[in-house]
Amino acid sequence: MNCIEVNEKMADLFDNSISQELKDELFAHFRECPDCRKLYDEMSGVMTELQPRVTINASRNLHTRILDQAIQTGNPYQARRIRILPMLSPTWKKVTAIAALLAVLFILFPLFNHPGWVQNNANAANTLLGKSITALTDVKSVYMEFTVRTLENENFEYIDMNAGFVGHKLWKVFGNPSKWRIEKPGRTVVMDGKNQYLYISGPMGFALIGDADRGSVDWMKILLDPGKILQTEKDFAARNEAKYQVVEEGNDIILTVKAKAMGDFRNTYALNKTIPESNNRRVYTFDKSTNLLKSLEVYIEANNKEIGILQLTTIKYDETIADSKFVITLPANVKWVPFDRLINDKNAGLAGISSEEATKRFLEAWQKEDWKTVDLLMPGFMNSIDVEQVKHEYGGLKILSIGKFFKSGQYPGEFVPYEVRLKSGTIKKMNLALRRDNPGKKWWVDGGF
Amino acid sequence: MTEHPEKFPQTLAELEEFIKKNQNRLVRHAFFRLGNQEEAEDVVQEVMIRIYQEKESKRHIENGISYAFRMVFNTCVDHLRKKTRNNFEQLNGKNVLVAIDGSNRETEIIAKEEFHRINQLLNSIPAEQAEVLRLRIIDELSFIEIAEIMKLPVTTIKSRFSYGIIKLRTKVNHQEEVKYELH
Repeated sequence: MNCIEVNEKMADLFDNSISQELKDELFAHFRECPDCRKLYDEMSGVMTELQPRVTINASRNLHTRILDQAIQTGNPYQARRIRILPMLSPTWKKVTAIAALLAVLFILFPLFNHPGWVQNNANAANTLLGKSITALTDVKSVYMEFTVRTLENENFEYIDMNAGFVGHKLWKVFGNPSKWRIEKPGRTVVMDGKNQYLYISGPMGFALIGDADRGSVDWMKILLDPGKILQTEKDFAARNEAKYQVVEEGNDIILTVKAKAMGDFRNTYALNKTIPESNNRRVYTFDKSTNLLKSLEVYIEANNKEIGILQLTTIKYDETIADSKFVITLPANVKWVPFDRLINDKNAGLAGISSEEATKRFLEAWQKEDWKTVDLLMPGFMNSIDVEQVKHEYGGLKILSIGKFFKSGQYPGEFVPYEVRLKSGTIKKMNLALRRDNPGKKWWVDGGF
Repeated sequence: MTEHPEKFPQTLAELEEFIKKNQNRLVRHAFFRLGNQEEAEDVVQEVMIRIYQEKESKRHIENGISYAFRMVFNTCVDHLRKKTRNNFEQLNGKNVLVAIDGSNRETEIIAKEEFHRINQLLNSIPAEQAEVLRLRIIDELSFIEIAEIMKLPVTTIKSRFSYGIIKLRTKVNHQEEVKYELH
């Protein structure tokens, strides 16, 4: 390679895609030619000089801000508003804006409060209800993908408005019996027509088997029966502090439910931890021609703004779903344990003491590595997937403090604040969740460890 | 540089993954054009929302990140055009934007000094060469990606890079000499 050719290829040395062969050839030339070597060194010097000496990164909340706006922008109401107004002249904008305001006042206010509008709304709802039930009788299966702001491995109901979106999938085959499956990273639940199976992966995970009606998917069960959504929501609104509205827009029928956070929030710990424990707005869109559900968005209201928390991203009807979808194949070292071993075990739990005392005994058992007591207070502990790893990690912990119990949200038990230091030096400051809604009124640990 | 082309995000989950993976690079790209972190993030946010809104029509685009860079670049140009009407100063015969946000945080000051230092160098060479240097050195894009963003042949990108860097060589070396003299 001569100097002219080297100069032509020099730029390639500053690109990561250069081949090793070309690189070797150029450097071989530099060893023979001080002028080309000097040029290369000087070019490298310019590269170094132009490199920023400071790291510019996006703010930590930028992605949350963008996703919130993306969800808001995806909202059919807002999208229409954005498209219509810029086409009008300023005068018409004012007129339209006033008309829109009046329309909103006429529609929303009476709809939720005026008996006549409730009646009309109820009629629309009843019509939709009848149609959607008819539509679903012909549907053989449904497949959904939806994203939820939550944490992987947490239960299906848990939400976290500061977390990223976690993908969920749902399969349902309608029939006699019906079968379904819902999964998210770290957690899968299957109902095969007879039993419900819940598999939680990870060292503290479980593989549980129980009867078909076990409530492992909490609020999400509404999605398992898309044809009953309106009925379920109507019943819900009748029983709770919630309002619903059914409107027709173009080819869509939109059901909006606004619900107040349910539970006791004198302590706000559980506020916004689940959809029912949040002030929320659920927007379901049904296709007017087929009456089938086509989208769902759930927003929660927190800190004076709405945050998108759940969005249905895909829904497909009558796809062929293999029967194998309704079977969970466990890793070789994991065995199915009956649900009852966890929650109805007559030997589990401790009666006649306070939740704080139960917390003390539970944490002391970890401190002393008294596994029998740990299993007594956290039934099923010995059936954890990797019990030895859990023992190694948490055994011998040091109790730093145990606080006063409190109640929050809809949780039927009590929360007890505690702080411990693990052998690794990690300090954990959490709230232990204990409940005793069992015949023996015995406290056992339900979560928060 | 990107390991392989990324498809245009079609769902919220894909958008989130796309943002998480590329937000730092895109904000850095915008910052070294605008000189202001907040404006840079606003531009990236605006672009991401447009990407999500246009997802259906852009489904066929195979290299989403190159497309996003081009959108951020174009949006920055629009922002600069609007701002230069009101606020610019003459430097070396070129218009150099001075971003003012009243902030006195140390990191922002350092970042702004870097913005000025780098722009001062790049403004001394033709704009088309400066652009290639920015994309290669600050944004760490490959020549192939730059060619895709600028819709030019890779050979043109390489020659602009070489010419630009060779022109700057004298300036940088002169600065080095001055530094040594001062010692």
